[in-house]
Amino acid sequence: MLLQQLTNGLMLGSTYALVAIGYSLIFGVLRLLHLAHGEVFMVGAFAGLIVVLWFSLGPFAAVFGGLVVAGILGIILELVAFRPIRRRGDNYLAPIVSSVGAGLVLQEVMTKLFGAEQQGFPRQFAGAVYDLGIISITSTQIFIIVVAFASMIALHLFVTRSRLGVAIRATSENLEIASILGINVDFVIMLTFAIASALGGIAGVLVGLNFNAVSPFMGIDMATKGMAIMLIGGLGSIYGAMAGGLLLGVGEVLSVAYLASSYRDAFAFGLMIIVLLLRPRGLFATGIGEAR
Amino acid sequence: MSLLAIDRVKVTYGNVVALAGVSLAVGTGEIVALIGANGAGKSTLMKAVMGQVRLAEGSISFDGVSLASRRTHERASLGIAYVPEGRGTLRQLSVRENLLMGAFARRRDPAIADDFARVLERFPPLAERLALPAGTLSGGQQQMLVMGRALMTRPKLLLLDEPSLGLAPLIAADIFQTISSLTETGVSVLLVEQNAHAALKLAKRAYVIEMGKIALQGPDLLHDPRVRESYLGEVALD
Amino acid sequence: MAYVNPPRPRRHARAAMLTLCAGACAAAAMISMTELAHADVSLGVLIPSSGKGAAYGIQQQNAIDMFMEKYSDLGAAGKLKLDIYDTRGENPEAINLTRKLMGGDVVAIVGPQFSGEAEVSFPLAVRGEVPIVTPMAAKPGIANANQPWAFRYALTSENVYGPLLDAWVKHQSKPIKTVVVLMDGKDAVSANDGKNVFPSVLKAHGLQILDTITFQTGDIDYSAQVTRAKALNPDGIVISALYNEAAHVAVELRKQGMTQPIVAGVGINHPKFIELGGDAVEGAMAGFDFFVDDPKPAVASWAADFEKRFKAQPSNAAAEMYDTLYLMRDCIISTGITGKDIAADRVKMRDCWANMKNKSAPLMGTTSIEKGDAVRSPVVLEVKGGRFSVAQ
Repeated sequence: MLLQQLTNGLMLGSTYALVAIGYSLIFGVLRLLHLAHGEVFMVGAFAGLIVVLWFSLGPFAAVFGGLVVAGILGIILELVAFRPIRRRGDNYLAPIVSSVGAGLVLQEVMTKLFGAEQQGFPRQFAGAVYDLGIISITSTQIFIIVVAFASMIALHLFVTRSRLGVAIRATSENLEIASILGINVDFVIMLTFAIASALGGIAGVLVGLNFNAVSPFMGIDMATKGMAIMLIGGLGSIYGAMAGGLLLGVGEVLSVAYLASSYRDAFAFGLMIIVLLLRPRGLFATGIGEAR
Repeated sequence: MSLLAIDRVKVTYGNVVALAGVSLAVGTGEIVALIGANGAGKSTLMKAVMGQVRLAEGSISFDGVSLASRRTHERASLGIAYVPEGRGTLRQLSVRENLLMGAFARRRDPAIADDFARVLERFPPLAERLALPAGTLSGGQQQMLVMGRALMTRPKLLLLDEPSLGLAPLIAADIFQTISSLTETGVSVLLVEQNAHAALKLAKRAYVIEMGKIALQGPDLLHDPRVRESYLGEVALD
Repeated sequence: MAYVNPPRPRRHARAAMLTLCAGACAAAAMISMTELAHADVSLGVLIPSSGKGAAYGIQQQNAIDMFMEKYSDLGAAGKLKLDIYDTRGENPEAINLTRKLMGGDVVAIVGPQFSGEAEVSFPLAVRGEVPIVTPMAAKPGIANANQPWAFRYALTSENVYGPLLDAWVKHQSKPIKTVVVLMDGKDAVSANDGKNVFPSVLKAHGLQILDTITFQTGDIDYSAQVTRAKALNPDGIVISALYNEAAHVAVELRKQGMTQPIVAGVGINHPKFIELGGDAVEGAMAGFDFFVDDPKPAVASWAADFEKRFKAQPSNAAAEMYDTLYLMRDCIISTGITGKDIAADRVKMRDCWANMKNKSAPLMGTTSIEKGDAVRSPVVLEVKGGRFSVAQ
């Protein structure tokens, strides 16, 4: 039973991690919370659903659809909700409020287009059940784990091996230094939004596939969890978000399994508070949050 | 024609005038020192060259091109490498990544590998620490790293803001030695230094800035009585 | 919020003037009243057109539209008017709107729809002496506690689960001795059913509850709960939840390889349960007031008409609304309610409901009222081939 619960936690945690990475990436380059990121996740889930329902394509196409649509949406949000305000100088509140607004608009638009009800993927997407004795897992769940971890590994390789990926980390650490090295920070910020959002979109499709509950409001809970994970992992730390996401997923599942479901969210935020008390800058402190 | 031409530049922060019409030129292959008291406007002038502060008046051109509409990263791409005060290492990035980010604007230039090797030759301590986060280096090593990173841009002009600040005298001497050897490769240097003595010895020409204005300029300020009195202090005795 | 906006309340100057005059200048009002041919009769309606229960409210609005097309004419009493308001499924809103309707010219209030809302609105209606009938709220005791003015048309879960479990136990090829109850701990009715109603009925059937495991409304991940249930290896599964959550639980059960038969509470009565649950809910059983594939001609033609107009199958929420309005109209006509003397009309309406005996409505058969609650026999249903059908 414990092994099965750990598997359950891993399923949940891997999608949490993908969403939390998005918050961390964007917080890294902008030092701001992107409060419409939960809605980007939601739109990604719908994009995956549409690919499947309207074009009768498979799960890979759904993930690709979620990735592309969310990535483009991320770029649009940066251009519409963040950049114009950034140009007017230092103001921490305005971009946060404008991103909240963008999130509400997305929720409303999706409600108008697809209704407020939950929607699911067609039943063949449930996949075959493999009962391995101690744990049982479906082919869809294996797909989800593989896609989630492949996305994280791809991101890791990108930010450590590629010129642009290192530029994202440079910009994340110090925007002014990055620009004097010849890095076009506006471009890097846009790229960061695209990558963060694409990962969120992938997570949306994976959550949709796993839990069959795609709705315009699915991003709200995910957003709070994502932000909590970013704090647990360390502001702006990609690896902290990965570890924090898995930790929270497993922790939540175990709390439900051995305590009660009503403690689920309390556990998530309790864990966050404990981590912050013991390590005020999170598990993987980045130094962000100190004066730049 | 000078490589860098600063013409009657005025910069204000709110009501405070930081630069009140400064003109300054750096020629190709020349080391020019800029000395002055704290708050005289030295760092602001460098930031103005990099486009990090807005000009209220005046103009700056580099290599015959007006910089007015150029953003910071574009100025870097034109060949201006800036090493700000406090060094500006990217502490989370490894030594290798810091150096390679120096060559960011050169995209996939095949010569980057050669320059990388040359920088490691010039600063052997870096070669031993390539994989370490830059934040773990000592002050002197960090100064080497930022100098090396600046060289990775293959700059035409190097803006150095207080490179010896906080360094032990021996290491500082090492840094000055490096700066002087740079000119052999045709790089121009604009050097801001609180160690005026060392700066003036190194530079062919120098400017003295006071209250946002150029108070003195010339080739041989090391022996100028006013400079000796105001900026060289006890060093004047030797 | 989704695709129907709550209609604006229809206030009519004539009726408003009447009420005003009745208080202020009785004699003059007598003259002006006789001058008016029809006063018309108004009912207040409270539905959740937006918010968490929007799916119910939208269905009910559709049922209201169908009803009014057919039955708005009251003969001598003029026209039936409905003042429809959106409670958003929220208690404070239900309180405000109940107050608002009580102060107006409505003869009775139809609603609110959720048990939580009914619990706070009913006492107000009792104090204000206005009959209030909830078509849908299912929590035991809510109408009972607010006599003599409050009634409910929905069957309470207590009246449903006995016959349901009889049928469920008989229906299985393997004997069922043990069950695990999976319940929504946040939804008032589901939690009460899971904690109280199901256990007493299960006990009466000689079934042992191995564990009661909770989740929360709005959860999407049920893996931990199902793994815990799986470890106990029960003979059957009881799900006490609303349709979204119940469908997800069923999917997770099958995903983890559990094949035990499922019996579910009243909250799952919605086509979405099957749409989201897919193959996982095949064979699941539940007991309802109403079901859409009822072969009775009156139900079949109504359901077909509904589906044609609104591109969705009617849920029990829609049917309960339709029947409740039908019985309201029946009372208006049979007791001679005119809309001219609101206080007297309200008493007539109250007595009509309180004394209801084997009164037949188009969709759910004959209903009697006992201590405020409707009594009739439920239909036990099984999910078969992607639709609810009568369990044989």
